[in-house]
Amino acid sequence: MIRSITLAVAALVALVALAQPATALVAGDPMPGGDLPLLATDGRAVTVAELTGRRGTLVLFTCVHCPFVAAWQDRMAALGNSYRKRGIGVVFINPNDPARIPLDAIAPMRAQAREHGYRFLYVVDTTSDLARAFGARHTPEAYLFDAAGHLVYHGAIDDNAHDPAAVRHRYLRDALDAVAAGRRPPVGEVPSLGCALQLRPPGRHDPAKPPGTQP
Amino acid sequence: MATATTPIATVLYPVDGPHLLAEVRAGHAPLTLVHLWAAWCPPCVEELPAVMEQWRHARGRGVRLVLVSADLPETVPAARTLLGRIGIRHPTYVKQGADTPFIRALAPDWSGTLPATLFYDRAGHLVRWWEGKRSAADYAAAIDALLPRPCPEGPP
Repeated sequence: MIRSITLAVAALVALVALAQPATALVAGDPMPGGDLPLLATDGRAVTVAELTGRRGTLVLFTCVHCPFVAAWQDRMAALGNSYRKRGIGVVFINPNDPARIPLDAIAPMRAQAREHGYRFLYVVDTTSDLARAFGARHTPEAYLFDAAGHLVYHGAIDDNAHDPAAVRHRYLRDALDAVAAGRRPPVGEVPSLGCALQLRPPGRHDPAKPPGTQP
Repeated sequence: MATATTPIATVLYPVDGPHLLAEVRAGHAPLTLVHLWAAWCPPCVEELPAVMEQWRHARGRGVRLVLVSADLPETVPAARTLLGRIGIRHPTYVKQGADTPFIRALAPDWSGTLPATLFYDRAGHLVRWWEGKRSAADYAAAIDALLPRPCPEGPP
């Protein structure tokens, strides 16, 4: 009898584990991974803690290869360029392993930043541990923190990747407006379709080499 | 002239979230597996043949498979080519319309990450879901756990 109950409980635990995706940050959580190593496309070694803004911070997981990133690209760049001037720290982060997705290496990232006029830092998560700390799942995926460093918005750029003219809800822009004004965003979390992250294996750190440095 | 490497012409039927859910419910299958994928998504491409294999094992027990491509219009031709290349003739939908209502109609807690796998019972209620690539054993275990048990024939 006891053995049956034990087996039933074990099966239930296994089923629950099977059903639940990895845990992500939730509203109110502090920004994690502030000391993890990042490498900017301009060659600087930075941490996300150094990139916070006085009114808030936008951390946007993105990449080069993903069609959803391409669809949202111009809107994402415009938001980053605009709100960094309004006291929001802005950092775009690519956590993908270029050994698995060569298009997500730093050279294509530099070209992407140049082509789309990024005037904020675009960085490599050189261990992919920042993405793990956030519980990030796909690109693009936005995390917006308030001035105190607590998560106030997570998720979509807007409600239509493919057709900018058909967008009805500009979720991230609305959240950025609120945070820049010292208010809480009207919506805290909105899902969006995206490309599953292809992270480096745990424990691997791609060494940070400034541009032009020989290995 | 068709050759062994010519892709099979595959039609992708446009569908939004509410209509997809209605289609799932209209099937009245004991268990419906909705699998969402995209041609540009490496784990999706890796997993798709295994999903088909798991369904082939389970379809005799009443499991219905609904494939849904989340490709954007510019990548739909690649999706069609991929289906042809791996020999999938199964009816396949392609997601239409805004993302957020699509996600919320199908599985409110799904982050939108692809691939995603959603299981619905005969009444069309979501009974299990996951996002990301899973093993064949995960699929087999979920199907075994979720398929309704046959009614006992009577008291011993």
